[in-house]
Amino acid sequence: NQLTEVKKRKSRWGDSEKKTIMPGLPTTIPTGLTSEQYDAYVMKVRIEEITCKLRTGDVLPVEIEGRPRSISPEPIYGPDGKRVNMRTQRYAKKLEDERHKLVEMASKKIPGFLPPSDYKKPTKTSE
Amino acid sequence: DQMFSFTKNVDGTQTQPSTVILLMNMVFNEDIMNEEEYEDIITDIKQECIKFGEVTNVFIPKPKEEDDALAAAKVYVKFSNIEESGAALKMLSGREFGGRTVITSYYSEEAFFKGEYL
Repeated sequence: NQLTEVKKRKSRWGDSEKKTIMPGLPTTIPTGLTSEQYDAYVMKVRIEEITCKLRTGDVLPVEIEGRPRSISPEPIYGPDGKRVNMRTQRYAKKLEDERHKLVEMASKKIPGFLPPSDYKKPTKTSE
Repeated sequence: DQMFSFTKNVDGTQTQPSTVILLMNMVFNEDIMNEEEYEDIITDIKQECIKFGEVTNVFIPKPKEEDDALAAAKVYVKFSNIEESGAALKMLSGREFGGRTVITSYYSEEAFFKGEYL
């Protein structure tokens, strides 16, 4: 379409006015921590962030202009005839999987780590 | 200081201004396994950082093979002076990058010049 102006690629950055505030998790942290301390902190932040996304349903990834979306898989329907692999469901599952791995990692590496209250350990790792 | 209470068991956790800042939770190892993606991410970061001053270096150590794909990579940005790095530290803190919240900290210039990365 020739009428479509070639837009400048949007970057991965969100709105400069928008800042996320996580209670108890400041976004500027002190100098001179060890690599392990920084990693542990980032794990906590990422777990909290995913928990918040799952709670609010804000699970879809950021789309960058000029970058194609990943191809959607064939639809799969549940016993009730409802589709079970919608885009939002797939991305929610992806975040849940990521959070699960992070909780496992954090439990090993951070003494006294408590998983988020609404976190449930998956009973099986089937597809 | 209430803000930094989580580091109370750590020595020397004063915030020490530096021309080098560390940006975390924006890039994970799995994002930069691919060379094209790696370059693209650096370009994105640089484009935003130059709004705060002269950026002399943006560096992300590449993950080693044994590193966990889900582990966070650290981004080092070197500015030409402390006013610029300070503005970037403050303004980028809590911003969103690829759906994640940016965590900032200063990083020792001495270590950076020696090529010591976390």
